[in-house]
Amino acid sequence: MDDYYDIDSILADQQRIPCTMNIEGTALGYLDNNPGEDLPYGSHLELPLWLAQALARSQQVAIDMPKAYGESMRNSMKASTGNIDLQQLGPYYYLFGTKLLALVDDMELHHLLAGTFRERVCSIMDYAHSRAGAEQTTMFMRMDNTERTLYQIGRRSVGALRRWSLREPDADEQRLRGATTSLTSLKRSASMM
Amino acid sequence: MALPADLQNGLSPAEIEFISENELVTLIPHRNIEQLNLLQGTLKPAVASREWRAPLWLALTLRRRAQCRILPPDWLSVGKCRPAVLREEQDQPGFSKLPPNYMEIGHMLLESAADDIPQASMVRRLLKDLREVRQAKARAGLAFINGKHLVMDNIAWMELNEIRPFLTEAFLRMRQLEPEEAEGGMP
Repeated sequence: MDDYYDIDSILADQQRIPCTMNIEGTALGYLDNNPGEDLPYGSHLELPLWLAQALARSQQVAIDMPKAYGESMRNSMKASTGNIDLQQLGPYYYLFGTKLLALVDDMELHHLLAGTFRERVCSIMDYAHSRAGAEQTTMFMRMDNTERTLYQIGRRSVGALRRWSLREPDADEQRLRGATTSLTSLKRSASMM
Repeated sequence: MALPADLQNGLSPAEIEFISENELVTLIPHRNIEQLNLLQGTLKPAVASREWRAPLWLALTLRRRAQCRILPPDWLSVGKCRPAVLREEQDQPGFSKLPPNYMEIGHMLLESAADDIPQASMVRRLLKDLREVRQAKARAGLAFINGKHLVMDNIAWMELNEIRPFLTEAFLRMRQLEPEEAEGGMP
C-alpha cells in the first residue's frame, strides 16, 4: 500500500494508539511500565501502531479510538476545518488516520478525513501562493506534516516562477556559483601554501 | 532521486522558456541573410526590409544587435489582451484561448523588443492582469478536487508547471484518503 522507504510512513507507525488486551498477557507487564508482572485480560494500554496492527490482526488486542479521532474532535471538524490544529492532534494526522482506518471499520471517519483534507488543501494552495507573513506562519504551525510538505512544494514552484519573471538566478544556479567560488577560494588557499 | 527537489516534478521555468524560443515569429531584417540550416529546419534566405519567419531565439538575437524589427504576434496587443482579461474576469468555466506559451513569449518580447510593440507598457500590465485572473481561476478550480480529475482547458505551460507539483502531491494524498467504495462506480 504505502512506499516501503517512506520515512513519514515509518514515523507515523511509531505513534501510540490505545488498545484493550483480549488475552492474558503472561509476563508482559513491561509493556505497561510494570516489569515482571502479568498483563491481565481487559487492561488498557498504549502501544505503537506497528505493534498494535499485528496484535489486532490476530485478535490479541482490540483497538480503541484515539482521542484525536474521537467524537468531540469529529464534531468540531464537521463545524469548521480551517482552524483545527492538526499538528497538535498528531504530526501525521492523515497518515495515521488511514492506517487506523485499515484496522477499524469506520466510514464516517473516512469521509471526514477526506473532506477535511479537501477543504484545507485549497487554503494551503492560497497560502503557498501569497506572500509569506504572520498568517502563513500561524497556519503552517497548524498543518499536519502531509499538509506541510504540500505547502512547501507549492512555495517552491511559486518561487521558481517568481525568480524566472524577475530574472533572478534560480536555486541551482546559486548552488553552482557557490560551488565555483568555494573552489576558487580552495585553489587560492592551496597556491598560498 | 538525484535531481534537486524542485526539478523532480517537472520542468523549470527556464526550460519552458527554452522550448518556447523555438516558436516562429515574423520579423523584418535590416539586411539580407543567407539560407540557414538549423536543427529544426532550413530557413529561407531573408531579404532586407521584407517579412521573414524565424524562430524566436534567432529573432531576439538579431533584435539585440539592432539588425531587425520584430512584428509582435497578433495576440500580443492591447486590442487582443484587454478583451481576454475581460472574458477571463466574467466567471466562465475554463480558461480563455491563448497560446500555451503566452507568458514566456510575452515576457521575452517585452524584455528585449519592447520598442517593437505598440503601447508596450499597457500590454505588460494587461499580461500581468491576465496572469493574476487566471491564477485565481486555477485556485478556484481546486475546490472541486476529488482525487480523480480536474478540468483546466487551455491552461498555459507556465501556469500548469507552477501548480503541477502541488496538484500531483495533493491528488496522491487525496486518493489515499478517499473511501474505496466511492471508486467502485468508475471503470
